[in-house]
Formats: sequence, structure tokens, C-alpha cells
Amino acid sequence: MILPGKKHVRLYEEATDRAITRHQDGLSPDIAAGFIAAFVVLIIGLACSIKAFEAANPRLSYPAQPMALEADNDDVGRGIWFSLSAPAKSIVVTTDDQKIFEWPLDPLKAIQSKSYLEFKDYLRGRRKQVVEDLVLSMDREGIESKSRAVIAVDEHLTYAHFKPIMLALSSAGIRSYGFETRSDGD
Amino acid sequence: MDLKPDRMGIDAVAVNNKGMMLYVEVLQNGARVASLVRPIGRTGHLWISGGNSGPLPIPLYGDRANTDLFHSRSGKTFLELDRFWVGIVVSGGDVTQVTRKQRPSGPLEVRKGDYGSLANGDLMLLYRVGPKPKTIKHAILRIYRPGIFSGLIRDRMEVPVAAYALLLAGLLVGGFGLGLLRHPGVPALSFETLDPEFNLPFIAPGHFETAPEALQNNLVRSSLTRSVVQFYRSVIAGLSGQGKDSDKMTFPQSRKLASNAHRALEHELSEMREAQARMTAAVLKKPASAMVAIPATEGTTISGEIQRIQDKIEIFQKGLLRNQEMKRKVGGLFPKDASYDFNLYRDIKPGQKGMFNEQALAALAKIRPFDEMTDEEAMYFQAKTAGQMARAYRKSESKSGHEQSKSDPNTKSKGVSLPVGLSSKLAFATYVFSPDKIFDDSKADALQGSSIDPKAAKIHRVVEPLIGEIDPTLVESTIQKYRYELQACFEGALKRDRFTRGAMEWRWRIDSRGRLSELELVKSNINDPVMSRCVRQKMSAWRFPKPRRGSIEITYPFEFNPTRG
Repeated sequence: MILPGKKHVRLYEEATDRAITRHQDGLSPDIAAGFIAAFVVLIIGLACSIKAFEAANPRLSYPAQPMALEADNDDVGRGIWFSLSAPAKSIVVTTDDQKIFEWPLDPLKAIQSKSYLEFKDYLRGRRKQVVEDLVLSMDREGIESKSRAVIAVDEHLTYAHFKPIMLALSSAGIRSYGFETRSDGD
Repeated sequence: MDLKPDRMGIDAVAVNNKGMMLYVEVLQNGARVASLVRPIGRTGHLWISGGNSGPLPIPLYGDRANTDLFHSRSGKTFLELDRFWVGIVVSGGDVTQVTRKQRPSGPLEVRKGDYGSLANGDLMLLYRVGPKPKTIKHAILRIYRPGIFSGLIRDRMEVPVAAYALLLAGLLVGGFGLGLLRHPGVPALSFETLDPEFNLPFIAPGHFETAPEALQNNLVRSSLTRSVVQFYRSVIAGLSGQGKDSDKMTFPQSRKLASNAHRALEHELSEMREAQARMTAAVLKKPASAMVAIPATEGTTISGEIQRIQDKIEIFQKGLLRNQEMKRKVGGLFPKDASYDFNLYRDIKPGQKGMFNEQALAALAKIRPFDEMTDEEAMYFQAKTAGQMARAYRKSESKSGHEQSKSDPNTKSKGVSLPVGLSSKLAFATYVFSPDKIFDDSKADALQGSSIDPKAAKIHRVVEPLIGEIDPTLVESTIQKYRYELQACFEGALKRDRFTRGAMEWRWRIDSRGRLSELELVKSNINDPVMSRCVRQKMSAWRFPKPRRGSIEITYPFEFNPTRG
């Protein structure tokens, strides 16, 4: 064991004095650093809550602007709903049960993409679910409304962009589909 | 080269003295009063001074101590002694004695390995030239800084105890972590395992009523809903051509027929697809000429498939009902048939110990309906009551849809219920609208208005049919269990009027989940409203055993007499 010499004792006393002075003065809070930290936490919290909103309603992240047209409301059923939009250089499909599929704008590339094949499987799954629900309840009046697909297509998209959707619908056996419209406010 | 003594700065150091340090100590009467360590060759000079300033200060000493010792110039350090210093100096390995008479001529250069010991009155000067001192920081820290574990372990004896504690903590935390990793998690509720009020509105009553005939060995009487839903799912899969051979719920012959039909359709469709592909390829050569035709559907349409399966099931169930009717006519109304094997209709295997052991059967035998019913009769009774329950829930569901459609004659919906909180006046449900049109968009107004309208979403209470059964002894024992609560109410009444006594007759319902409802006082000869309120409050919190099959109504008289003594 190393015994403290005289010099060590002096250094120790100096260190003790410094510590006492520091404790008497108290810690000086760096207000700017505190503000920056609080601001960062605020931003992160805001971003998280926005993400949570988007997760709750995926349509918020990919809003489609359906065509402004006053159409007759035939029937409001709980069928299959999804929206079709193009936020960047790709088509994004968001479904009512919070699933998102994305494929390229080019229809020929789109129908070969992995996400498109997943979308086709998804529609087949939805078909199976609708058939099970309606057969279990033996509801004959709701067949048309509950087996119909309602699609909110962004008005900037063209027929070519919608063609892959038609193929997917036909492969799932969904013949009856309609388009969501919006009021132009007049 | 003449140098100013106060000029401090590190010049180039001679090669032989590189990294060497000059150690100087001044002692007064044997006690060290000043010391200094400086690199050899650093320009400047060192002197002893009285007072508190200077490189080698000697406190409480007169000015006579102001005497020069070392001068450095051109990277070299020289010792210059005045005539009062005596002692020895060692320079380049040669020992030179310094006395008043015999002194080195001129400044003496100090180099690596030189040292000296000189005295002047009560002062003593010691110097040496050596390598840099090893840092003593670690030594200081080791002495004064507490160890990492010194807060936890103060003695070496405590080390084993701490080790055991650490091991135990590790085991506990590790076990907890492993447990979390291996925990299967809460399984998602499937439709068939939900409470009846959530799944019965979506199951046709006919499925329950024909369940014993349709399901045969697959009927699980302890979870009727689950077995019915699973059976119809497998029927749907079979009729859609997706039935698996491993599926034991439907008949293999039916599965085979359905899959053959679907295979034939698939073959036909593939031929059509090939023809379509040829046509598409031809059109794609001239893209501007025509649009590629897309078939409406590949295979059967969803609505067509639903109708077809619903038709088949309806025919199937009609046949089953006719079969049942004939069976009753021919075989009599559920005769007490000793040869009837109950095990065929429930999920308990013969020999398996479970809820139907001797004790349980003896307890069940005490319940009234089982005295009068055969097993078969009980099975059909269960199926019938489940169907009635489904019908009751369905009626309440369609009632809510009917009310909405009545409020708006324009809508054509027949029993189709809108999502909760949406007005039926809405042309369509949308959550997307332009921000600048918020204030004049009537649909947005309606949407926002509907969400805060308390009348928009009504809760419809379902009144279950009174078809349940319960062992009266269970009701009696439950009342006995809670009786002391009523005693407290009665004691309160006695404090108000010490002659209080009499009886109260209460009637209430117990639903299939064991909850108490529609509690009412039938008659009472105790005229104390506070006590009635107390009894009502206490009884509303009681929980009874769940009755079988549905709700039951109970009327029970309570007698209140003060105990003597």
C-alpha cells in the first residue's frame, strides 16, 4: 500500500478545498442546454405522435383526392375499401385494415412486383373473410353491399395506373366495385 | 549571447540532455522549504528569494537569501555559486569539493547524472539531473478515490456474500428475462371464443338449431358456438374448392365432389386465360389501336359464390330439419333409450376423468331438467336454446338498423347498420376533405356533428330469454355467503327503530354471465326506505354462479328478526 507523503496531503487538501468551494457555489444550470434538450424531446414526441396517428389511419400518410362528383349513394355497407394514390414515383394502396402496398407507376413493372402479388393474396384473403362472414350470418340482403369493393382513386391517376387493380380484383372474383367521390363544396 | 533573466521559454534542448529534468530542493535546518523541477535548458534563471515570490521562495527569511543559483542559455544550464556556498558537486562523474578557497572557475554546466549538495549557513541546497519523474497521479487517486465497489463491499469478508447476492440477482433477473422471452403472449381472440353478445348476432339461428344433425360427432357441447363456426368454415372451404384432405369436419365424398368441380372450372379458365393472353399480345403490338380487355372476374364471382353456398346450406339444413321431424315421428319423442351412447355427442372420451365424473354426475342429477330429459333430449334442447339466443341478439341488432332507416326515409338500407356515430344522411363516409372547404362542406359538418351527437350511437340492451337453469342450492349458498351484508342494513334500521322486524321479498334476474339485473322489491312489511335502499345497493353487487343456457328469474323472501340477548 502506498502511504501518502506530505505532497500528497497538500494535493488532497487542495482538492478538498476546491470541492467545498464548488458545493458552496452550487451547480450553475446551463439554461440554453436545458432548452435545447426540452426542444429535442418535444420534436421527438411530436414526430412519434404523428407516426402514431399515421399508424392508426394510414390514409393520413397517403391521402388520395377522389374525384369531385355528386354521385348517388346506393348503399353503405362494410365491404372492402382501399385508396389508390401516387405520392412519389410509385402507386400506394392503403386498405381499411391498415395495410400498405406499393408498386411502380409502370403497369407492366407493377404486375411483376412482389408487393402487387401480396396485394392479390390480400384481396383473396378478404374475399374468403367476406364469404365466411356472410355464410355464417346467412345474410342474403347484405351480399351486394358487403362484397363490393369501394376504391378511392386519386383524380390525378389515369386508367393505366388503375389497370393492375382491375386485374387483382378480377383474380379475386370481385366483379362489383365502385369509386368513392367527394363533394366539391357547392 | 546575453540573455535577459526574466525571459522564459523553451529553447532547443541539447541532445545529451534531452528529456532530462533539474530537481532542486532547498532545506532550512534540515526541513524542506522549497523545491522545483524544471527541464534542463529552459531559458531563464533560478534563484532563492526571501518571502513568497520567486521560483524558490523561503518564507520568513530575510533578503539576504536572494541569491542566484542556475542560469540557462542556448539549451544549456549552468550552476553559478557565490562564495558563501560550500559542499560537493559531481559533474560528469568527477567529484569536486567546494570550499571558500577551492571553487570551480566560472559557471559549471550541469548535465545528465550530475548532482550536488551545498550549504550556506542554515540553508542547504540539493540538486540533481535525472529523467522525468513518473507521474504520481495514479498513486494519489488510488489512495483518495473510493473504489468502484467500496460502497457495497467494505471488507474482504463481505466479498463472498456480495458474490452470492450477485449470483442470486442474476438468476432472478435472468429468469425473469427468459420467462418474458418464452412467454407465449396473450393470444388474439378469435371470433368463436368471444362472448355470446359479440358473436351471436353474426351467426344464423338455423346453424345452431340443426347443429346436432349436421355436426354429428364433431359437436362439442361444452363449446357449441366454436364447434358450429369451425364446421361451417370447413363447409365453406370445401364448397369453395379449398378444402383439405386432413379436414375431418366434412364428409370426404363432399370434399371430393367439390374439388373435382373446381378443378374442371380451373381447367376451363386456364384455356380462356391463354386465349386472352394471345389476344393481349396481339393488341400490345399496336398499343394505340385498342385497349386491352380485362376479364370481369377470373372464376366465380364473390357474390355468386356466397349465394351458391348459402343456397346449399339452406337446402342442407331443410333436409336436416325434415330428417329430425321424421325421426321424432317414427321413434317417438326422445324415449329414454338405455342404448343411446352419450359419448358420441360430446368431447369427453370414454374413461377420461373430467367434468363428468361420478361426483359431478350425481350433482347434475339433482338439477331438475336432467331428471326429466334424456341425453339426446338435452342435446336438442341446448341446440334449440342456443338458436333462440342467437335470434334474440339478431333481433336487437336489426332493431338498431331499423330505427336508423326509419329516421331517414330516403335511405334504402334494409337492416344494414351504419358504422357507429355516422348519420344515415351521409352520402358516403369520408375523412378526406380540403381544409379550405371545412366551413361550407355540409358533409364534413354532418360528420363532425354526428360524432358528438349523443343520440347517434345508442346502446341496445339485449334481454335474454328466460330459459336458463341453475341448481337452487347454488343460489341458496350464494345468498348465505352474502347474508351478513343484509344484517348490517338491518342493524342500521334497528338503530332508527328498535321494533323493526318483518320480511322483504325481492325478485331479480341472473343472466348467462352471472350478472344480476332487474332487481325489484315485490313486497315488504318493513316500512323503512333507507333499509330498502341499503339492501338494493348491497344486492346489486352480488355475483351469482353462471346459469346454463340463458337468464333465470329468482324470487326470494328475506326475514329480518332481531336476535335475543
